[in-house]
Amino acid sequence: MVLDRFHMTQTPRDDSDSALVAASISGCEESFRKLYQRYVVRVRSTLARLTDLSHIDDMTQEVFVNIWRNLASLRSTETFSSWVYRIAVNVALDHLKQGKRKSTEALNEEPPAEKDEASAIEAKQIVRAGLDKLNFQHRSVLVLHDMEQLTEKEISEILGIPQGTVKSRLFNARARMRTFLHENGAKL
Amino acid sequence: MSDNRFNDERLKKYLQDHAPTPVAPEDGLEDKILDAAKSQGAKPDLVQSFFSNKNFLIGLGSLLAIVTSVTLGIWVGQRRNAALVPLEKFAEETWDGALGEDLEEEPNIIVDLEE
Repeated sequence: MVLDRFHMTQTPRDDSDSALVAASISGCEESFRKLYQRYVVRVRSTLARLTDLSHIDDMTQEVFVNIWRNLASLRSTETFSSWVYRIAVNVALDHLKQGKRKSTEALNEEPPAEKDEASAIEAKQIVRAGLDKLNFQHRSVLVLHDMEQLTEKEISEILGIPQGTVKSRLFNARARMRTFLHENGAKL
Repeated sequence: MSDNRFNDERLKKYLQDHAPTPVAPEDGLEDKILDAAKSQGAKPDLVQSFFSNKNFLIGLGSLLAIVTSVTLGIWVGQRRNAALVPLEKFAEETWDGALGEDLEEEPNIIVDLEE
């Protein structure tokens, strides 16, 4: 009995997402820690791009607590990464609905490494402002496709919309972003 | 078409190069998050997850509907049978009493003309 429990909570040799998820459901905290380490950067960048940087740690915590609580509801047909992105998008949307956004967010922004700091900061601010101009539907598709580099199929799974809708939203989001960048002097 | 694709690729590159990037998580955030997750329950909430599954709820609803229909059908059938038994008995008694016995005797319909 004791041995059984030990095996149930042992970290699996297989390091795949599905093996780690199965071990986490059995109560293996080490496996969940591995999943956290694997996805935390992606989750944080998605949250930062969809909302802002002011409550990034709180939102990150909310995403991973939701993942932990609902791991067992993950369907076998669904990939873990898509599911994680979906939770992140939902947390971001909730955050925006609650109006927690701050107008100033430069404090938490990572400083650019290159020498030409002024233009890099300016370009980042323009992109940030461009994202802010988009509605959430367009922004989420643009962020997931062009920044997180997910496929249209993955985005359709994450957002629960048809692929055709992803395409049309992406087309519109890009057109608006392009116009905004041109208007603000960005050199594409 | 190819011009659009070229523009899309340039836009994508520009967005990736200048995308908002969060700072690295503060020290201890990992433990803080894992502690918060654990405090929500020792293990992932299997019961909640089980019942929040949409397909499961649809299946459960269908099963309940079938069980209710069958139970109702059996109950109605029993009630019907219970109502029919006395009716058959009543019909038998009535038939025997009102018609059967009388028919066994010859009806006295011959009129004695001489009287």
